[in-house]
Amino acid sequence: MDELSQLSFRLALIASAGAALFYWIGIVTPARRLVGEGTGAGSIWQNMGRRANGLGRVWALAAAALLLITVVARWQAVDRAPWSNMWEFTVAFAAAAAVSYVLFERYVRAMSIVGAIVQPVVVALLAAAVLFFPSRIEPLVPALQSQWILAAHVGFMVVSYGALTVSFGASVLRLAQGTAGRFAQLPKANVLDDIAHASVIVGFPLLTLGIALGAYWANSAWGRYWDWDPKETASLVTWLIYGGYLHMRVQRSWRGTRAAVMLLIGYVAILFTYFGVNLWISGLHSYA
Amino acid sequence: MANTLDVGQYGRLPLRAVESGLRFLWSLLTSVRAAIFLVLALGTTMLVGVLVPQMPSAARASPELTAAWIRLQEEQFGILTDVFHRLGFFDVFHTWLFIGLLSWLVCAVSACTINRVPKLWRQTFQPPQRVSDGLFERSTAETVREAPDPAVVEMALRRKWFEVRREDRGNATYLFADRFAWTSLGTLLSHAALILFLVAVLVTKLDSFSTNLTIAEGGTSPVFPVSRDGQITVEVKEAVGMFDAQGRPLDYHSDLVLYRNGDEVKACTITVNDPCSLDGYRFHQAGFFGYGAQLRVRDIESGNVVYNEILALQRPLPSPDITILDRSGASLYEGTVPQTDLVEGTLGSLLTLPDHENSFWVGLRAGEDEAWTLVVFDPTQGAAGDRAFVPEGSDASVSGLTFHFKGVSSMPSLFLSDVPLPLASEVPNDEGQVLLSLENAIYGTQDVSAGDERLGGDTDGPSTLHLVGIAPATVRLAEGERVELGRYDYEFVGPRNFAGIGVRKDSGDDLVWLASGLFIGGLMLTLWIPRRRGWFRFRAGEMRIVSQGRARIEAADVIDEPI
Repeated sequence: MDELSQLSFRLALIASAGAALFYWIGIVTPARRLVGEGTGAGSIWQNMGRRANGLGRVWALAAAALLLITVVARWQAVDRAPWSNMWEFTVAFAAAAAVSYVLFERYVRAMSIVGAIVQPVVVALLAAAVLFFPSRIEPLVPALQSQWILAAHVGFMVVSYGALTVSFGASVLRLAQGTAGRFAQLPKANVLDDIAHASVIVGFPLLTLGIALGAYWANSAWGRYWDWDPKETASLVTWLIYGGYLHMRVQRSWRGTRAAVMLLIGYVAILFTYFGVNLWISGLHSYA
Repeated sequence: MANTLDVGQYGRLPLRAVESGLRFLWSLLTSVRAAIFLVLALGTTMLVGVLVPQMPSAARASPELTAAWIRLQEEQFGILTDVFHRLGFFDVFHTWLFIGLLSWLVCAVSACTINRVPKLWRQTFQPPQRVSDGLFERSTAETVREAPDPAVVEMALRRKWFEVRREDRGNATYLFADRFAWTSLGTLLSHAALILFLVAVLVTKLDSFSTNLTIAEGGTSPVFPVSRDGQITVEVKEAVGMFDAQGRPLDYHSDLVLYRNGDEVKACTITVNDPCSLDGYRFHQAGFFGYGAQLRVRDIESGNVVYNEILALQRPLPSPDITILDRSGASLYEGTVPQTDLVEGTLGSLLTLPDHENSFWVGLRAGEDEAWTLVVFDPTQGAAGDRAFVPEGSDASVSGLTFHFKGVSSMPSLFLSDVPLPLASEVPNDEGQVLLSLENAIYGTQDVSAGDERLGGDTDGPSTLHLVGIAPATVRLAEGERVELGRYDYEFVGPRNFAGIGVRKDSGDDLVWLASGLFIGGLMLTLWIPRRRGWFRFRAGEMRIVSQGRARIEAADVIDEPI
């Protein structure tokens, strides 16, 4: 099963790179439509852009499916939830981002543009897994040999990070677009704002649940639900940023650019909580 | 005087000033901008706590320990250490700033919750069932030119769980549709849960018990430092640590027996994630230490045991594994030599060979490339005596004997000062500290195949206890072996493990889980099941929809519905 996991992982890397490429072609191509307008070339570029977006969707769907296969096959191979070391978590993170994106795209028409940001993030995560983290299967340290509660804790964190990746993609484009709307090929600022908000609405309760389950597990493993461990604190900072964002959005004057900046900070906090704290700061989570 | 407020010795304040002060405070507490600032300030403070190492509670116990811990940080932070210390960066979660921000958060959340109750209540239970015609004329209102029958729309809405009110007025028909209005109250639930959560944290601070016990196999320890009625005593029957071939831990568990007032009340096995409970106290597997040795000393004349301790050999001591051969090639010594003294930068000890006239100084010197060199010197020949520097894996000859340096082991060791010593007149000894080192120490259990981490030697022989300083030559005792020295009999009963047991009781636990459940429930209600509310107007064959909230009602919701 691990061979299948590794094979689908490599294919997923190719598929997500392909998706990123096509989404970018889709973003760039319609811009030329303005140049060719009135000459008959406009419709050619337009069709090309539409076709590139369609291909991007197909590749993104393939990447999401392959990453799901990777995770399930790894689960079978290791006989536990497959997010207990850096390689496994990074792949699961990428899988959650890819699947979240595909699900969002299913319901939101303007989403395919956001793929131009989300898919490169998926590629970067998978590349990081290849370059920096060993994928070999090793026995778990006793603290990680927990019941379902630990699997659920990390699982919810993974899914929430995946959903919030979509908000990152939308907020990057929102900042590029500006309030006035710099680029004709990008959706309107308020549409991007709504996409980002929708993904936070999905991700924030899951993030909260993940942190609460972590506290519950810490209480059973270490006898205390909170210890201001760097990882705990960093995840609380992340939670505060997204909580702050939801409150910001209540105020009309704080929507738009400020809210998008807040989401960028939130995603940096996610990456820091995951990579930074695990790799550079020692604490109770250092084994992960 | 009626417009002033008596504030005792400070005189009287004008009521208007008090009122405006309170209004300002209330507006500050309920301001969303202030809340965002508060969240950012808290986040920044916490970030300092993530990036800068935080002082462990043990180091806060005394100013001396604190100073020692701070000194350790100088290596990383250099001249900034003192500045960081003064700013409270090393203990940020106990600073007044952090506590103040948290207190402000409690007050702000409470004020916001109170402030929002009346409005939310009205919005939920007394919604405006009709909006002005002006709203239907705005561009935000959705317009359907060929309006369906209001009855059809009403039925479609009801089928989708909307509550619908209909009103015919003049030549127009109005519908008011409302669904899941009560989920708006979820936000109150979340904010109230946040307050409950902070109350739970306060309860934890005020009424919790926490202690860590380190108990050797076969040993007991009271839970409470001062004896009292209901005293709980913990006995560790067995402490087990299992490791794989690379020394990675696979499992830790301990078999415990719990006593209340001396009576056995519970026997249980604890693992890292599975504690045992008694009277609200939870016993957690908090640690494992495998380098222990039981040493028993008897007075030969009386037969009484005068010393019987399980000792934790916590100090790893680099020691050379050597073989000494005589001229005929017969082995005179094979094993690890514990290092007891430091002479001219070289760790070493005097090795007296049994049934041999010579003693040798055998030591270890670390090179700049971290390679070890064995230093052998024959002190009987004075300063000009024969000596050799032997690289790892090589041989050298000193005073006619061949010394083979196999490698370096880390021997778990301990300096003891309270063990009974024979009289110097009976057995010459150091009359001071005794060094205990364990050769062939096995960390963890042998039950796992290849799962032993064997330190202090490279042979498969039994664990051997070295006692240095108790007699002229190092005394080596295998498990169960004993030796008589002067008036005492020394026995190495065997290697023993230690279990680290964390004992916790927290009255805030249940409140924390209740608060977490309420918070998440409230959040999911608010964000995932949004209220949907809309007003419809049918007039002159046209339908107009005005919708409120995040989840809007659109014409497609009601027109595409098959009748």
